[in-house]
Amino acid sequence: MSKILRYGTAIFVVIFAIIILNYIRKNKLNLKYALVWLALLLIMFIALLVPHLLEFLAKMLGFELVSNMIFLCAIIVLLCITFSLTIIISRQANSIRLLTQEISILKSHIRGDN
Amino acid sequence: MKKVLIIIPAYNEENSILNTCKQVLKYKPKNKIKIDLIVINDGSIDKTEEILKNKKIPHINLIKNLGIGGAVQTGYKYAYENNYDYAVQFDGDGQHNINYLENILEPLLNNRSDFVIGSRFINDISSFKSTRARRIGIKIISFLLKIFAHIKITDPTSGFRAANSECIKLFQNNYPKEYPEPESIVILNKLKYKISEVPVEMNERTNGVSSIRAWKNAYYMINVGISIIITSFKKGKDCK
Repeated sequence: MSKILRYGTAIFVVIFAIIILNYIRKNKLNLKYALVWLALLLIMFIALLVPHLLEFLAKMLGFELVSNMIFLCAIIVLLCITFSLTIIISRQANSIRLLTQEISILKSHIRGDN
Repeated sequence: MKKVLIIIPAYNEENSILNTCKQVLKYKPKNKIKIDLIVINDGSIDKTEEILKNKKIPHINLIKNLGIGGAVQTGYKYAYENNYDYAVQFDGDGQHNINYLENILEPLLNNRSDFVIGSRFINDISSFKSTRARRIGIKIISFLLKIFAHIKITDPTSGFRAANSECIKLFQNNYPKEYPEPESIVILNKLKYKISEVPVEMNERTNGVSSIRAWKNAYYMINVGISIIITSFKKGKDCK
């Protein structure tokens, strides 16, 4: 990995980490959902500190290029994250429906609609 | 005396809702049953709410549009909380005929069934049988129900249906959201409730558009197909 690439990625990791932490600080992101991103950044950071680690792993697993391994890993991780998001959305849709129903029944009752 | 709640889901039905409600309120049952009605106004953006309010028709305004499944379930929740013995789903668009109410309740009153569906296709009393494309769709859904849920239903998308208190209790907790009519049949059958069909007459909808729109038919069929197949593989505890 070239020096520019390494430092560039390092800067990106640090900035992304600051953004995430800032969102948590402002109560705009729940720690529960931020953890997976922070863990990802930590892994990226370790990979940057020890570049030979990636090369060693790629060789072990039979990748011709380190970048191929990184791309494959990135795609798998992103797939998992988006899939878990659709599960979270479904769960929230169920909660919202239940709340809508209960509030609507209560409100109609209070206003004497039924 | 048995209490019956008629649940009328309504989404933008300003042209027909009043007429539907009038007919229901006018209806005098032969059996000794007490009939109430509740309109579930599913976040209509027309004058449906205004009409219901001005004419003092019992109703619940959903503060946000939930779609047919969420609206009907609200009715079941209301029925459950107010201890109704039976709940009847009835369309607000003038498609259904209230004179068949007691036909549809009869199997419940005699404890022969837990859930009754009003069918256009059992015999020829209903001259209106929907469009050709729709009929083919209904045939396919019936076929899927037979193969995967092992139950014979001639009119699986009929929205004229009656439930006893056990089914009310089930549905207030878990009612299918997107394509509720066929899927609810699979759920009931899975939990060993007795489902039967009675012949009813249906009219062509006088106003508004069906929740199953023409251009969405193919999409609807694929979704219903998948939902029937997956639901038939659900475990009983996940249906409750």
